[in-house]
Amino acid sequence: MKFVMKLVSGAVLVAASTMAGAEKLEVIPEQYQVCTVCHGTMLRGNSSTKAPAIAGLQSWYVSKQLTSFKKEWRGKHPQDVPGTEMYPVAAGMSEKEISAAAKFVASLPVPTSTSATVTGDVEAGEKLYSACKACHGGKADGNKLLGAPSLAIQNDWYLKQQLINYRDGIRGSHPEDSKGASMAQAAKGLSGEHDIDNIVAYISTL
Amino acid sequence: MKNLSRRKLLLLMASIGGTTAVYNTAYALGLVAAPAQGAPLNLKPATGNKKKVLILGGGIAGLCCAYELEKAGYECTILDASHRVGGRNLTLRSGDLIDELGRPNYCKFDKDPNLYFNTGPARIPGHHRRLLGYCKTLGVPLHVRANESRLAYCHDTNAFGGKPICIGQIISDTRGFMSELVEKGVKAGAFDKELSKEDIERLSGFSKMYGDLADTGIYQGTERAGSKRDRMLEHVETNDVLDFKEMLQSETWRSAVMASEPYDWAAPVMEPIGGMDQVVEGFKRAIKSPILLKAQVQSVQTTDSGVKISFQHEGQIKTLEADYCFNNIPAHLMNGIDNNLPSEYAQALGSIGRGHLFKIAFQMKKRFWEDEGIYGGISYTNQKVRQLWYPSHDINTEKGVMLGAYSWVDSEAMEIEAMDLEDRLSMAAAAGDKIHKNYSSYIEAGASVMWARMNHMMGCSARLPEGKEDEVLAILGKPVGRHFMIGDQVSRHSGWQEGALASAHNALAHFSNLVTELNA
Repeated sequence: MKFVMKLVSGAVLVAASTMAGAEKLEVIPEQYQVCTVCHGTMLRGNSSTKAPAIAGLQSWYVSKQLTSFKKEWRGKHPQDVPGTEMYPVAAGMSEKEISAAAKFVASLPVPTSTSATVTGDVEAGEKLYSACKACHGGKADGNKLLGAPSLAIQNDWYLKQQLINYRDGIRGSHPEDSKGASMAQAAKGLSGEHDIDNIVAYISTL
Repeated sequence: MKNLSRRKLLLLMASIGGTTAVYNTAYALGLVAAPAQGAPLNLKPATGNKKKVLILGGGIAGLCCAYELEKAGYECTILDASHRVGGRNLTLRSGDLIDELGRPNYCKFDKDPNLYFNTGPARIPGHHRRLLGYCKTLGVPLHVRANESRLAYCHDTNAFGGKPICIGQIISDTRGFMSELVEKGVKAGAFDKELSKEDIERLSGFSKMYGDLADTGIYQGTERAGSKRDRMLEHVETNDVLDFKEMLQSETWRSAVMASEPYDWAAPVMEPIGGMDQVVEGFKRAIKSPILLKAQVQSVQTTDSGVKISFQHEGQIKTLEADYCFNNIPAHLMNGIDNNLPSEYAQALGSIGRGHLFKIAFQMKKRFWEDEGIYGGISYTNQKVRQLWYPSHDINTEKGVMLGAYSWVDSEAMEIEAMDLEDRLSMAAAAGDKIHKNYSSYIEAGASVMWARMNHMMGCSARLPEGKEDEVLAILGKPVGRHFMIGDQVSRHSGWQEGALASAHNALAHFSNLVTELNA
């Protein structure tokens, strides 16, 4: 067998722009291609690998989370398996690399269509969300000064899992993670059986 | 199929798939007793201009499709996201990249053709006819791998004082105890209703022989379990009989006794000489189609007349159109790749979970196990490493590579995945020390392959959703337009190359049907 890298047998090479019905694809720089293995095409998230959509997240937030993994605030709790998978990737990055990666992630287009996987009472969720507005904003688009990320672009299954993790002390429990601690405190208030589903269902409408 | 007679069906299969397909169909219909002799397919030669095939992923199923389709005159292109083809058929040798996400590292074994380790599939039982057939056709020489050694150990930290016990003794004592119970049953008249007096006598005779019972019907040990002194010049002095109650409490006891009973593990099993990846090399030698490595698929779009596949390769997004597509990408990764597959199909893909199989290997400076009479086979333990495998190739040479961990317990595997490379090896070394004296002192190099962390794989083996296995396989076992899903993930035998080949053959049978329909 020959490794013919130039000649592509049979199949017709067509220009990417002729693609119909698919979202636009961009070249992912080589150093970030590894991210797409779990986070999916154009980093739009993958519920099977439990890797969230990160495309279009604010760069300051991506940078902060990568740093949180590096500092072992995230990714060390045995119940947070996807976190433990992210940990070694972030742990190997320098501050400069984190900053560059965050800028790249933020530069990608926000996914336009995500399908709902969490069902809940939207009205009940809206009431609960009033407590979140102060930091995350009425449109759940985040607030850099308060360190609150955008929620509106995130996969609902990921929001649900993170609220559970905050509530159960799996995330936001590291003594130096003050922002995480505030969020963990807030999540503890979601004690009703369907509170988390309801609030996530509401955020999905924003 | 209601109105189709068996004969007509067989004729139809012959027209599209050749004699192997007929034989397999006849087998499925219960017309013949055993699977067909392993032989490649004989697809109908390609006609017309609809000949372009894209194969996404060069795992065993992908390579098999390329081989078969190319042979029938189709123009195939294989795309693989990794730096290599073969998928989880990975044999490690000196200097090989272990492409773990976040922890890429290189195999530190000595540069020596005998020092290799099969990190994925490692055994081929005699009934895996497809794989054995390809080995024969592709010129992949095999030898027998000892999958069991009666002198290997059963070790349980909670039984027998944590002392490793030879599996031969465990098996002999188990038979002794079971036979003793049969004898007690006979004496209590437990079988009097079901069996005649003569049959009971025969049962009792067999039972005494099976368990090596004393004339009294009591098990008092057996020379089958070994002897306390040299048995060539002296009389045998049987080992002390194990405490049956203690045995019952040990989970490792069951593993050790049952290890060679499952159909796939029953002796003898085969392995290619020089490493399991000789199967991959065999396919590579036979395949002329271009293989694009580091070509990561980003989009899979089915169209009315074929497929459009976009992938990133050499710093560019490229899009290829083809008439057919055979998709070997892990289902859990497909779920994150742009596609226009029907929602039912996409949901079926998304429902498949990631398995956490892994293996740890050690290069040992001395084949110390051979000094204990172990030449191949497996020791079992209740520690997280679960198994130690001894190589049965290159006996009596100086060094050897042995398996130091292989567990099917996901929760334990995930703990080990989260460890740093060195911590994994230290954990496995310490576990080995509990079974073999000075085990860790022989270690020269170690390697861990955690499949759930390996780049472009992220799992082994596929976990079909519980209770919905049939439903999911029914959906994914059929094509969507000109797109066929393949891989052990869409078989009932995930984690085995035979499952991958069966999925490929199933897809190719559907493909043949489709081509016949299109040409009609």
